Amino acid sequence: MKKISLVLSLVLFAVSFAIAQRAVSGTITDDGGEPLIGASILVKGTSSGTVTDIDGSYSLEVPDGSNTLVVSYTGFETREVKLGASNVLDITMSEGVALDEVVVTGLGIRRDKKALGYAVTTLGSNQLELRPEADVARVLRGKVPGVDISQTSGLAGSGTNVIIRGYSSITGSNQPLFVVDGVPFNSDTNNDRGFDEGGSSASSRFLDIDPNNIAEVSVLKGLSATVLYGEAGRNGVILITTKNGNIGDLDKKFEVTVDQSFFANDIASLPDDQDSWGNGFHNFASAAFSNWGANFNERTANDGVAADGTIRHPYDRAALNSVLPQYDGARYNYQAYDNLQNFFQTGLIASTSVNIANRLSEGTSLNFSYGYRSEEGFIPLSTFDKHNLGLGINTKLANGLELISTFNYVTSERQAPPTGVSFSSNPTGASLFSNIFYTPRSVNLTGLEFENPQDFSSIGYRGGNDIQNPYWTLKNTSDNERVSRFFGTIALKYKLTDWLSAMYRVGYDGFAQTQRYSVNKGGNQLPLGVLETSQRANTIVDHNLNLQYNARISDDLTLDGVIGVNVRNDTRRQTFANSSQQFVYDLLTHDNFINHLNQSDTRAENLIGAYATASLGFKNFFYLNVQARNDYTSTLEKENRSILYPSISASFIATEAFAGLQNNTTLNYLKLRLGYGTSAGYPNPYQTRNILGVSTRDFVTNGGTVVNSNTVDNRFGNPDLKPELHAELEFGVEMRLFNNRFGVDLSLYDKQSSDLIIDLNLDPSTGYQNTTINAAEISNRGIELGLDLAVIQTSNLRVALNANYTRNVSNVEKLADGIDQLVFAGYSNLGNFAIKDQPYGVIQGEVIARDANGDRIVQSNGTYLTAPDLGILGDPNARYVMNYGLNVNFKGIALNALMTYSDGGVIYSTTPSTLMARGILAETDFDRYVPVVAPGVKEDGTPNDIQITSTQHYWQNGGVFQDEMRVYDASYLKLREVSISYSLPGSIIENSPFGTVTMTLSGQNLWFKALGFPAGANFDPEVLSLGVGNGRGFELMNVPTSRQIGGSIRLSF
Amino acid sequence: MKNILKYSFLALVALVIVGCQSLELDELLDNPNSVSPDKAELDLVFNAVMLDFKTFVDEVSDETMPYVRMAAMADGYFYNNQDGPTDFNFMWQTAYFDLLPDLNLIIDNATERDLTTYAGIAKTMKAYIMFTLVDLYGNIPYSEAFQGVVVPSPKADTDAAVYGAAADLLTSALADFGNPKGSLGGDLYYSGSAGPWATLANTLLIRYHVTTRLAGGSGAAIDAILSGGDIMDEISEDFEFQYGSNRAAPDSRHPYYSDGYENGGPGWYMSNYMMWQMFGVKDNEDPRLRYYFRRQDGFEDNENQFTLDCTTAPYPTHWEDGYPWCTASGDFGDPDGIRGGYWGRSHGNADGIPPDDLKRTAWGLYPAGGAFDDLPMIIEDEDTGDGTWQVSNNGTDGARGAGIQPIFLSSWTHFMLAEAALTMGVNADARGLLETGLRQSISKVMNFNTGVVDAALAPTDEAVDAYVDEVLGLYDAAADDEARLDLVMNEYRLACHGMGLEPFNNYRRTGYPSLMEPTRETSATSFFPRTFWYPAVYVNFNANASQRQDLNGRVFWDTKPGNLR
Repeated sequence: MKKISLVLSLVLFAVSFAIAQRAVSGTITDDGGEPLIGASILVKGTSSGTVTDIDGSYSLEVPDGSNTLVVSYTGFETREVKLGASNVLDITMSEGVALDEVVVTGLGIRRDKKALGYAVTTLGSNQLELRPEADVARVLRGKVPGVDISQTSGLAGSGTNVIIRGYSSITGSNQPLFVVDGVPFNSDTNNDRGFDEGGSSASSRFLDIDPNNIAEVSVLKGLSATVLYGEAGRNGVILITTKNGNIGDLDKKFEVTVDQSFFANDIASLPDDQDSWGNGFHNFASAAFSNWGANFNERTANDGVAADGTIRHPYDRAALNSVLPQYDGARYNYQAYDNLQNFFQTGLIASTSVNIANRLSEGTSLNFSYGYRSEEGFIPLSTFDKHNLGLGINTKLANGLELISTFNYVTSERQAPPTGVSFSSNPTGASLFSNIFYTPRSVNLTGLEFENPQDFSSIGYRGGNDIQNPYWTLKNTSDNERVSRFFGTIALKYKLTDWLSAMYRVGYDGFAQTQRYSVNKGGNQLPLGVLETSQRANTIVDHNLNLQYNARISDDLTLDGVIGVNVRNDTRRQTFANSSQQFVYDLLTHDNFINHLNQSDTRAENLIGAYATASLGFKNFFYLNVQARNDYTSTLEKENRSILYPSISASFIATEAFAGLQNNTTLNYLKLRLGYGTSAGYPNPYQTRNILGVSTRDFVTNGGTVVNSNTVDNRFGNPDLKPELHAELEFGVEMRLFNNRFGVDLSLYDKQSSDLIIDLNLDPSTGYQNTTINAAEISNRGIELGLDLAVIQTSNLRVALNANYTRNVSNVEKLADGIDQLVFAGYSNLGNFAIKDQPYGVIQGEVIARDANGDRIVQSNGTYLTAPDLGILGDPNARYVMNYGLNVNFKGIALNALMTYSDGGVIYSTTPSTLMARGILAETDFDRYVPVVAPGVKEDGTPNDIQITSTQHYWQNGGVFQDEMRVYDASYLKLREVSISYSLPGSIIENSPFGTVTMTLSGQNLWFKALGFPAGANFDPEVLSLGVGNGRGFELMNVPTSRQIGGSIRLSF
Repeated sequence: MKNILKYSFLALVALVIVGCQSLELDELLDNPNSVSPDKAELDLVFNAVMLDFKTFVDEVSDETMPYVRMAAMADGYFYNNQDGPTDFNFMWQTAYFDLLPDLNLIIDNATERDLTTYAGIAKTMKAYIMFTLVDLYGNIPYSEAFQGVVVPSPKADTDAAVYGAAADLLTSALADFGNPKGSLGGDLYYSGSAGPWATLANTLLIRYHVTTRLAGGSGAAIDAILSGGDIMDEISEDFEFQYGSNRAAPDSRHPYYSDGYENGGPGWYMSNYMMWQMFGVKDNEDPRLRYYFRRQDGFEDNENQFTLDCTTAPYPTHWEDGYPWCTASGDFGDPDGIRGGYWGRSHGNADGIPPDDLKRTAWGLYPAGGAFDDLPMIIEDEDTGDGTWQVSNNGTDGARGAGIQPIFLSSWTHFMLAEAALTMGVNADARGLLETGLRQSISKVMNFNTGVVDAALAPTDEAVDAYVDEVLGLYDAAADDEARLDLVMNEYRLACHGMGLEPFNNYRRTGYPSLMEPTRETSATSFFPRTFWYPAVYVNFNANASQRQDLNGRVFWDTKPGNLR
């Protein structure tokens, strides 16, 4: 928050030559130790004062008799500090006073926060930079009420799901619009494969933004805030201003800032295993998938283990005896081995950022930035590298024309393991993690060969060799993603009169993304080998032309606003090449494969919008804002393509309005706001017209004839499709109390979305599989509450607590006529559903049949009967999320901690349930010879008394066979982030070339506890195995989370 | 001021260059990645139909075979949980949105252009599909179907009405074939001309009358067809889909082959009972045994409860004596211990899947295009054979997948007519029909991809005669027509290997074969399904559809009293 009150500074500067009596100097910094540039220091009761320089330092002559300094800075709490004996006085300022805060709103227009009739959360660079995460959205986690940010996994560079104020679209995108330096920024998550074959680990393209190069982020949550962005802003807008786009002060001095960080990247947790029982089934040692074998410590007559505690070597089998003759007849100790501990590594994350700001000449300044990040994951196959290069140049011509430009270039490369999903054993498609976690205790995975020395194929402990060895996967597979991206803006501003200015801005965002997925032949899931490559070239060109006006009608009345047009063109071109059946092992070129399939896809979408806003201000305490936008889209037929959506909001500052409330020390500030906003949503292109299904090479006859075909396409093109509508009512209260030490920011909203465009599956007897229609309605109601409290506030020590609370309750009000449910994520028999009068996204799956009393029905073989119909397994949405922050500042040391508690919601989780069902978790260390009777009733209604083995019970009744048994309460408590930073005081670096030296230690995901899971699972439920999108509440054994700990140093010259 | 003009001009230029394209709206409505439906070509639409049709039949067969013990019922312990509603989605989808709209398009278009051959073929295929859907589900949408979102929830018509409409389609097709115009290019079933399709249509009409014999089906009508029409009575007239041997891009092989003969072993379990019937019941071994089944393991007595958990389980107490237990060649199925490796599953054994995929019996040469079983009948030392017995060798074994999907075969016509002769007074010799059916079935199987058969192990003519004679002897010894029908239905079923629909229908209509292996578990409430669950996609997406309460509701032609085992 380095906002410079230029005018104030100049004025103060002019009067700072007071009569010298005593020279006082020091540094003024914020909570994080950042120097505050241009903070004003006044000697209380006098007119003498100064402003801090670029290093936050000041020196001031204090007249006799004065012993108090008043320090103020925009956006910070004004402090009065008593002078002591020392002539050096360092002062720490705290953020949070909303009185005169200026925030970025729609189209990048800066406005007084108090004039806004809606909620905006703004975060400064100190809350974003030098963090372990490369992903700006993940850095925002827990810091913005109303915003739900979930990582898909702990894989380096994996995608992130961002949902603001609930899901309002059923099958369409609910991701917010990212706007970087005023221009829409493509933040898609591009997958070549479905979630089940690894798509869930794809990157979200906001990964291309360097968090260390961000000056400020504003989150516009409600529809009254986002109207100007058109339909693209219906899910909220995340406005990012980069340091290159934020050259506010054209006279900034030459400054170089260098950041260097190192972090250790680990798997966040491993399960606790039991060490008593080994591989097998029914207490008999065998090469099963499961770990229900013999006991390690006691031999029984028929347990498959020899008296000497050995079993036949897993590689002593006919198929391997010729290539691994050393194991022919060999024995193998039947004991517990450490496998997971050996499999994972500690990766190193190194990140360097350089920022150079300089004034070139009168009226021309530039900012240059470069960032490099190199990241190793917690397995050797996972890496991420990124270069960010940016330049911003602002120039103001003598005639008043201002040119503002930014140019950014990013290249990145991400390497990931294949990450398919798994339900208890082998994955769908190739996947690294699926085959590692359930490795039986008595298999020494690390100590066994993983490839056949003859043909390099995967070998493993199973007799049928039907598990792909994870070490083979590490060596033979890869999922690689490269991006090069350019984005930039050029804006021209001209002040026509003192109340009217014109602006034209063109923005371009274009990236080329290349993906390459390869699996050598010789594995199990893709035995013949696969090479899949894809190219995507996506561009956004965005033009904005507007007039901004700002008029004072009378002494009490102000009017400002903007009128403009916006034209946006969005294109995507994609080509895919799939080659299968590898010819020569380990050569991964398309030529080296026998079969080839290619595909291409292009799409283009244009949007034209006209907008106008007017904000009427009365006496600095009442503001009325009216906004409207009309959009025209190319994705709908002519009759339906235009839509107008207005919004209106008001802000009332009671503490300014009523004389009795002014200068009140208990209630310092009270603002009430009320807003009503609307927005629209357009479908993806090409949903309104029928097409002919065309397919080539469908079949090759026995005679060798290739068969191609035409067919009536299964999708019904709906010419009557219209835009969907969203409307939101928002009420808010902002308060500061008790000498500004306690702050409250509350928002309540009620959002109704109707005519929702849904991708509707049809009964096939209509002749079609699906169509797109306007049918559904959904409501989201929520509470966002931000609290901050300065517990201790002295000149040396400041301890502040803050908390934010988010609760969103959704309800599916209506679906298409005759449809009472539809699945939009996952599988048709296990996924997230929209069901009328249920929260959006409830999970349905197979449930155990129950009798009239609700008791589970047991079949005659002692295992549970599955009900014929799917049942609701739970609501994956948290009841509420609470984040707690602690900030301590003590003599230049700043400690920040962020803790999250997520209450309620369920998760369908296959890792813990599989480890339980397969007898691996610590919880399964019991006497397995004791038979079990499953709780429930028999089919005739009498209590179940059928005894089955513990193996059978845990395996068949324990989760793997019934979806119902794999659902856990997802509540968790997490220490998300801790950082400690220390800035060397000015006295130490005074004579060094450095302006600031700041050291930071930080870590993320340091500790967590999932309250609904078996303790031994040590499970972190904060993953999204369905990937970025509308699905949630699934963990399908694809990738666990990570933990990062490290440190940074920042030097500025 | 000059600069302002300069910059304003620059801005305008930028707007014009990039802006014009950005202002297009109408131009972007058509999908650039495809063409409009009026570009469809009939022959190419027929290609889609021909391929989808075999997919449909394959799916119908896959779903029906386990119930009539032609493959193992291994997904549920009881009939009502062998399949759930979602298991029928694929079949419903293939029929309703892949096949029927294409067929309707062909019928409309060909009728308009007077291409009667095209129309007739499309009507014949459509009739077969409608018959099949009624056979499996009873009442289904028909008259309100195929209208997209105009009728988003088509109401079901009664099963009898749809059946009648399908029969009318056959009659209409026969009229088309009587005046054939046009010839279908690239016919994947017959020659593309009207003749063989007319033969099929006549045969399907007989099948219609036999199927509905308890609900109005007419023997006289069959007699009329027999006297006038050409019916499918020669092997060369068989209605079947010939798969290719192309391994990938696209895999054009029989799905059973793609499943089992590539890597990791077969996903299917064979029915113990069916395998055992072919060597353990009659004095003579069925000549088709080595063609139908390919063993992978020579000897299963050395297995433990992990690879074969039934080895330690007792023979089910509610079973009559004499069925094979655990495997077909296990102790009970092969008391003499002279056969090994007929490793399937008992009826309703839905236990988890042990690592036996390289041990269980695979689909054989017929009809999968797999391998002929040229192994010795028993190998006691399994290790010597380990690896060499298995069929998963990257698609190199046997006929490489060039199998067939039998849909309706001439041998079946004879069995069907035998039923008509025994029960409907049709003027034909049931015994003679049984013999012809048997001989045609055996002949077809033994002449299937003979290049990969070990001639030394192929049954001799004498062995074939002995088998046929034994069956005819049993027929002659049968007490009455019911017993004779029981025997005919059993032989019919054995001849249907690879196609479960006819036996599934026959069993419900006749109650025969009467003594098939019971389910492994008992249940007082789970009887043989008279219809399937409605597919989930139908029940969930159609406002006028609701799921049935149980599987006891019957199709209109299924009126024989009593429950089936």
